[in-house]
Amino acid sequence: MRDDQKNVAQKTAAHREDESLKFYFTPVDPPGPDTDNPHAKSSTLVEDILATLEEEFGEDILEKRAYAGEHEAIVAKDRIVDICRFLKEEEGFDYLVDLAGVDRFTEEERFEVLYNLVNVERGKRVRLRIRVDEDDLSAPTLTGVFMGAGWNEREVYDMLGIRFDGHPDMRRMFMPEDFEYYPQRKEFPLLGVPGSLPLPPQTPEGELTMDPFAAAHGSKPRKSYDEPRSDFEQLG
Amino acid sequence: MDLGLLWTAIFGFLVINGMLTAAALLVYAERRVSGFMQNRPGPNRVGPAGLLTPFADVAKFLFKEDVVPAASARFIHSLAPIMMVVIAMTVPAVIPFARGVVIADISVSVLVVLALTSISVYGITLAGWSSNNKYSLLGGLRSAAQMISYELSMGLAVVSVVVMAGSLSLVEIVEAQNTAWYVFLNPLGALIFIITAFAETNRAPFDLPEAEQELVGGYHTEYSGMKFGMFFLAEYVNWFVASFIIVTLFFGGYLLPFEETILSLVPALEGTVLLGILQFASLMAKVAFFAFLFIWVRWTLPRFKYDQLMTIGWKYLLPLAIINVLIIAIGVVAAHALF
Amino acid sequence: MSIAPSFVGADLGQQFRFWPRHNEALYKRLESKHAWLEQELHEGDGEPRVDIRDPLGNEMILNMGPQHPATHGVLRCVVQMDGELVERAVLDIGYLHRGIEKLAESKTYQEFMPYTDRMDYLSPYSNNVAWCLAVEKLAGIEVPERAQWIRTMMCELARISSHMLWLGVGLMDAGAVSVFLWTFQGREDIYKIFDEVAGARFTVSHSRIGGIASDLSPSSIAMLKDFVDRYPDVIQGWRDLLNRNRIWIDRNLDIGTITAEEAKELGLTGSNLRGSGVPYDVRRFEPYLKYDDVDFNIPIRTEGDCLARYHVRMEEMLESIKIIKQCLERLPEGKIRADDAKAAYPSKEEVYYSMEGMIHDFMYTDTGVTPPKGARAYHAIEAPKGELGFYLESDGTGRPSRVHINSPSFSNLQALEYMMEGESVADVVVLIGSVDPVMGEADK
Repeated sequence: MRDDQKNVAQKTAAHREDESLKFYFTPVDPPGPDTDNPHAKSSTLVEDILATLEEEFGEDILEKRAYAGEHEAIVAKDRIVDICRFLKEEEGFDYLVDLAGVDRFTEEERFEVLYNLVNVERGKRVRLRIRVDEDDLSAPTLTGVFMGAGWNEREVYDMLGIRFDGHPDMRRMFMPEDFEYYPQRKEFPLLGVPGSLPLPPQTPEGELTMDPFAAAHGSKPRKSYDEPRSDFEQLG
Repeated sequence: MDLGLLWTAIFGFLVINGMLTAAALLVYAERRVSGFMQNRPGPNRVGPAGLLTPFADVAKFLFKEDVVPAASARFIHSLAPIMMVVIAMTVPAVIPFARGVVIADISVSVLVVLALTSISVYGITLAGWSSNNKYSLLGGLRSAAQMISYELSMGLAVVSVVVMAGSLSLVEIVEAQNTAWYVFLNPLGALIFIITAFAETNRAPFDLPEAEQELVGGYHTEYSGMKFGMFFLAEYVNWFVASFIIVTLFFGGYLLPFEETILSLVPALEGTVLLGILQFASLMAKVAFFAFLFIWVRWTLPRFKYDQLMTIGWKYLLPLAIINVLIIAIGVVAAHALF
Repeated sequence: MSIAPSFVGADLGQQFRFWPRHNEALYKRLESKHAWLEQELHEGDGEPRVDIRDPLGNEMILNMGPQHPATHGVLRCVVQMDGELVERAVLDIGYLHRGIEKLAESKTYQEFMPYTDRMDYLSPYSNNVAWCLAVEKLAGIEVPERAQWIRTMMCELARISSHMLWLGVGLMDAGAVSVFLWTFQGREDIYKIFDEVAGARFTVSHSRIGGIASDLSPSSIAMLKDFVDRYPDVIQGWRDLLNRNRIWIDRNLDIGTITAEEAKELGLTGSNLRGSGVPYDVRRFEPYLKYDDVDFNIPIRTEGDCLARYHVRMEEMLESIKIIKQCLERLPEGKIRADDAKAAYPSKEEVYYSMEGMIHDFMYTDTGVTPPKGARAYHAIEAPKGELGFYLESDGTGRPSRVHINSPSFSNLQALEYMMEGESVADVVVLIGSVDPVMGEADK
C-alpha cells in the first residue's frame, strides 16, 4: 500500500470518528475501574478467583477486566470447557446462570460468548468470555459440564450462528429451522427480511403467504367457500 | 294405575319437555351457583335475573356453523351426539314421579337404567374416535375405561338395593322404602352409588374425558354448533337423571318424609291428587338438592388423575361394594329369619 | 413412485406442509417414526419401509400447543406417549419471539422500558425495576432512598400478583376453577393499587432510570395499607383450603421431582430452585434496592416436587406482604428521582416552567443516558419467576450495543422437558403450572 493511500484511509477513519462524535453528541470516554459504582456488589469482586485461574491456566487467561465492580476474564476458546470444569469441581461454581452471545461487529474475533457462573455457597459470581472469529463460527459446548447450557447455546446459535461442537441437539431455539438468517447479527435489518418466513395460507387450499403485509399490499385471498372441494373432503 | 296409550304419549311428551326445561334451568343454576361460589354475579343480562340465558345459548348453538372435520367419519360423527341425547332422554321413562305416575312401569326397570347408562359410553367413545383427533380419542378412551370401571361398583350398589327391596322394579323399590329410606339402612351403598353416579355422568371431579386443561375439550373437541349443544344437553340431562336415580334408590323417591305418619293423621289424603302433587314436590325437592350437590362438588374439587381414578374405582370402591352387598344380603336373610 | 395412501388423511401433508424442516427436526429429536414416515410419504422415493396401515405402532405423538388451554400462552410441547404416559417430551418455544434484544439496540435506554413490561407480563413492575437497575449500574447512577423503598415495595407487590396468577391457573389446570376467580379478585386489588400509583393497571412502566415516575399519593398508601392488612388472612385461607385437599396433594406429590444437584445442573431458578432445596435468592445473594434493610425469610423446601414448589410460592407471598409492611413503615421522605439531568428525567414542574428543564427533557428523550464506551454490566433481580438479569454493553452512545436478557422462564422451561418424561398427560399440565413459565419472557 502506498503512503498516500494509507493517509487517505487514516483520514477517513478519523473523519468517521468525528462524525460519530457529532452525531451522538456524547463524549467517548474509556471506562475506568469504576469502583464507586453505587450498584456494585461484593459478589462480583472475584479477583482472587481470577488469580487462581491464571495460576492454573496461565496463558489461556487472555485478559482480565473490571467495570462497575464486576471482574471478568477473557479466556482462550479451546480451554473454556476445562476452565468451567475446574471452576465447577475445584472452586464450587456449580450453577450456570447465563450464557449469551455478543456481536461486536469488528473485523477480528467478531463474536463473543459469555458465561456467567455462580457459587451459591460462597456467594460469588464470575463472568468469563471467549472470542469467536467470523471465519470459524464454532465453540466447544458446555453441555458436558452444565446440562443447563443446552438451551442457551441453542439460543446463541439461533441468534448469531455460532455452532457449538458436540452439542447434543443443535437446533434453533426461537426461529423455525426453515429460517436462513441469524437475526441478532448487526447486519440483519431490524424490520426483518421479507419473504424469509412463510406464513400459513389464508384458506385451506391456498398458497403459503410470503409477504407478511399481504393484505396491505392489495392481496385479496379467495374465500374458502369459493375453493373447489379437496380430494380429502370428497373421500369422507 | 294404567294410563292408556294416548295418555302415555302425552305424558311422555310432557316429561321430555320437562327434562329439556330442567336442563336449561340447570345450566342457569350451575352458572348462578358457581358465580355465587366465585364472588361474581353470574349471568344476569338476558331476561329477568338472567333466566333466559340458556335459551339465548340454544339460539346461539342453532345459528353456529356446524364444522365437521375433513378427515372424520362423518356418519358416526353425527350419530354420536344424537345417541347421547336419546339415551339420556330415555331413562326418565322408568322413573316414578309420584305414586302410580310413571311412563313405563316395567318389572325390570332397574336393569333398563343400568343398560341405558352402559350404552351411553358408546356415544362418548364413538364421538372421540370419529373426530379423528388425538385429544378426542384420548377423551373417548378415558371415558370408556372410566365408565366400565365404575359401572361394576355402581351395579353392586344397585344390587344391594335390589336385595333389600326384593324387586327389580323402581316403583316397588320406592314403595319398599315406605318404612325407612334405604340411605339409613344401607348408607355405604348410598355413598358408593352417589360417587359412581358422579363418575358415570362424567361430572367433576371425574370429568377426565373432557378434561378441558389437558385434552382441550376431550371427546367433543371437534364438535360445534348444535352437535356440541347436544353433548351439552345430554350432560345436563344425565346429571339430572342421575339425581333422580339416586333419590329413587336411596332417598325414598317420591315418598314424603314420614308419609305413613302423615297419612295416618290425615287419612283423607290417601289417593287424592293433592297427595300426588305433594309427592312430586317432595321428589323434586330431593332431586334439586342432589342437582345442587353436583354443582357444589364440581366447583370445589380439583380433577382426579387417571391413575388415581382407577385406584379409587378398583381398589376402594369395588371391594367396599362387594362387602356391602354381602352385609346387606346377610342382614336381609337375618331379618327374614328373625321376623 | 409415490405411495398410495391407504388411510384417510395420509396425504394431508402433501397439500399443505408448513415449516416442514422445523417439524421434521422436532420429530427427529423425538426419535419418532414420524421423522422418516413423513419423508417416506412426502418425498416417496421407493418402496415403503413401513407398514402403512400401522405406521406408528403403539406410539402416539401429541402436539400440545402452541394453542392449548394449559400451556400458559404459546408453549408447544410435543410429547411422545405410550397410552397416557409421556415417554419423551420436546418443548418448542419461540412462538412469541419478538426479538426484543434486537429491538433494544435501536432504542434509547429509557425507550426500551415499555418493552420490559411485555416480557413477564404478569409482573411488569419487577421487569421495569430490573431494567432500570441494570442501566443504573452501567451508567453509575445513584437512586434516591425513597425511590428505592417504593421500588422494593412495588416489586414485592408484583411478586404477589404473579404468584396469585400462578396459584389460580395452576389449580384451574388441575380442574378446580373457583380458586382462579378468587385469586383474580386479589389481582384486581393489586391492579387498583398500581392504577393509583402508576396510572396504569397492567403494563405500568412506572420506574424510571434514576428513580421512579411519580411519588406515592396518600390514597395509594392507604390502599397499600389496606392490602397488607387484609391479604395475609386471605392467603392463609387459600392455604387452609388446599393444604389438606387430598386430590390437590395427590396430584402434586412426587410429580416432577428434581433434586438439588439436578436443579443446579439444569439451571432451574427462582421458586423452582428453592423448592429443590438450593438456597439461592438474588435478594440475599447480592442484595439490591432495600432488601438488605428489611427482615424477611426465604422459604425453602427440599422435596423438589410440585408440592414443594407450591409451598414455597405460598410462603413467599406471605413474606412479600411482610416486606411491604416494613417498607410502608420505614418509607423515608425525599426525592424520587436523581437530580441530575444527565442521569434522569427532570420533574414536570421544571420542564413546564423553565427553559433548561425543557432542554434537559428533550435531550434526555432524544439521547438519554450515555454510559461510557466499552462499559458492560450484568444486574440481576429476583423476579417472581426467578433470577431476571440484564447484561448490557455500551458503545458510548445513547443506545445499548448489546442487551442480553437472562429470563427465568427460559431457564425453567429447559428443565421442564426433563421433568415431563415418565409422567402422565394429566401431570404435564400440572407440571407446566408448577414451573410457572411466561412465554413473553421465555421467547424474548
